Amino acid sequence: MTSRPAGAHREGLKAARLLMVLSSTSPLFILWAIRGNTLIPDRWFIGFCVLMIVVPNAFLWLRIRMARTQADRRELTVGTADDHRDHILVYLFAMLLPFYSEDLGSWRDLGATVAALAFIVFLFWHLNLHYMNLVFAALGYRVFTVYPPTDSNPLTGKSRQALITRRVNLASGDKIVAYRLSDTVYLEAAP
Amino acid sequence: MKLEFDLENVTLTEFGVGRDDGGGQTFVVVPVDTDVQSTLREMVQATWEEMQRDGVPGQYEPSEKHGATEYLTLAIADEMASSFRVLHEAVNLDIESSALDDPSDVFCYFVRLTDKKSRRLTAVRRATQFKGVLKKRLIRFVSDSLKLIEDSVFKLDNDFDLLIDSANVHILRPSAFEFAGKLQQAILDAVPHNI
Repeated sequence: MTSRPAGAHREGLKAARLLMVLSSTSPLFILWAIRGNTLIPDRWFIGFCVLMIVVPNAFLWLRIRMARTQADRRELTVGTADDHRDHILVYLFAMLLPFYSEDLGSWRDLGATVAALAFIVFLFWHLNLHYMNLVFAALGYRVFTVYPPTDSNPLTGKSRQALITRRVNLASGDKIVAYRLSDTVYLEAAP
Repeated sequence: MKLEFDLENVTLTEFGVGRDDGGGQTFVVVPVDTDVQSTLREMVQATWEEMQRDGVPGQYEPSEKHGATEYLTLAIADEMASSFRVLHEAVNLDIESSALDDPSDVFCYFVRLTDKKSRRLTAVRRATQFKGVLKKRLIRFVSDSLKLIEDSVFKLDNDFDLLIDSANVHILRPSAFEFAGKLQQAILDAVPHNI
C-alpha cells in the first residue's frame, strides 16, 4: 500500500473556493463603497460593492451550513501546527492597503485596478489562501496550518490543512473534528 | 467476542475507497452525505449482527480452508493483518471527491467510524458489486413506468467483509480478507504445513 503524493489530485470545490476568496475581499468593497467613485454614479457603484459583499459572504455562510447539515466533517490529527495570524498582515498588505489607496479617477485607472484585483483573487484562489477572511478574525477565530504527524504509516496524509478554530493553540497529537469548507480548509465543529 | 467499539454512539463517519491504478494501492476519503453515512453505519451493524450469529469466532489460519462466510478473527498485531492495520491506523487520509471518476480502479471501499470515546472502527468491503453495477444498465420506476438510469450509479452492499478495531480484525468473508490483504503468498507458504 502506498500513499498518493500530496497534491497529486485536483482540488475540489473550485467555485466554492473562488467565492470564499471573493468573500475575503469584502472589506475592500466596503471601503470603496464608502469612498465612492467619480466615474460611476453612486447607486450603481455602491450597488455593485454591496453585491460583491453580500453574495460571496452569503455563499460562505451557505457552505458552512451545508457542511453542518450534511455532516461533512472529518477528524484531523495534529502533527505540528503553525498559528498564521501573520497571514492577516499579508492579506492587509496584498489586498486592502494597495487597492484602497489606488486612485480610481479615470477609466484606465479603474480598469487597471480591477485587473490587478483579478490577479490577486486568482493567486489567492490558486494558492488556497481562501481562509483569509476578516469575518472569521472578527468572530474570534484563528487560522492554523496543520501538518500531519510524521509517522511511518504510508497511508497517513501528507497534505497540510488550514484549520479555522477558536482554540488559542494546538498541540501535537490533538484530534480535531472539523467541518470541510474545502479540501484544504476546515472549520472546527463546536465541541 | 466483543467489539472494541460502541456501535450505538458513533460520532463520526468517513467513507473512502481503495484504488489500484498500477502504481500501487492508494486509499482516499470521499465526502458523502448524511444518507450515505447512515447507510454505511447500517451496513456495519448488519456485519456485526451476522458475525454474532456465527457464535464464537475461530482463529484465521492461512493454511485452513474456510467457508465463504465464516466469522474469524486475527490479532491486528499479526503480520498477516499488516495491510489492514496500516489502513486502520492512518490519520488525515487524503480527501479526493473525484476518486470515483474512474471506478474501474476501485478495488475496495471502506468506512471509518469514531465513537464517543474516540475509538475507531474500520470496515472494508471488496468492490465487486460496487464496481459490477457500473457495467450494467439499471432501470427504475419513474411514475408507473420503468426508465433507464443514465447517471453513474454506485451500489453499496448489504454488509462489509471485515471489521477492524483496535485489537482485532473481525473477518466475515475470509476470501475477501485474503484478496484485499494480498495474502495469496502467505497461503501458498502455509500449504506445506497442511500436507
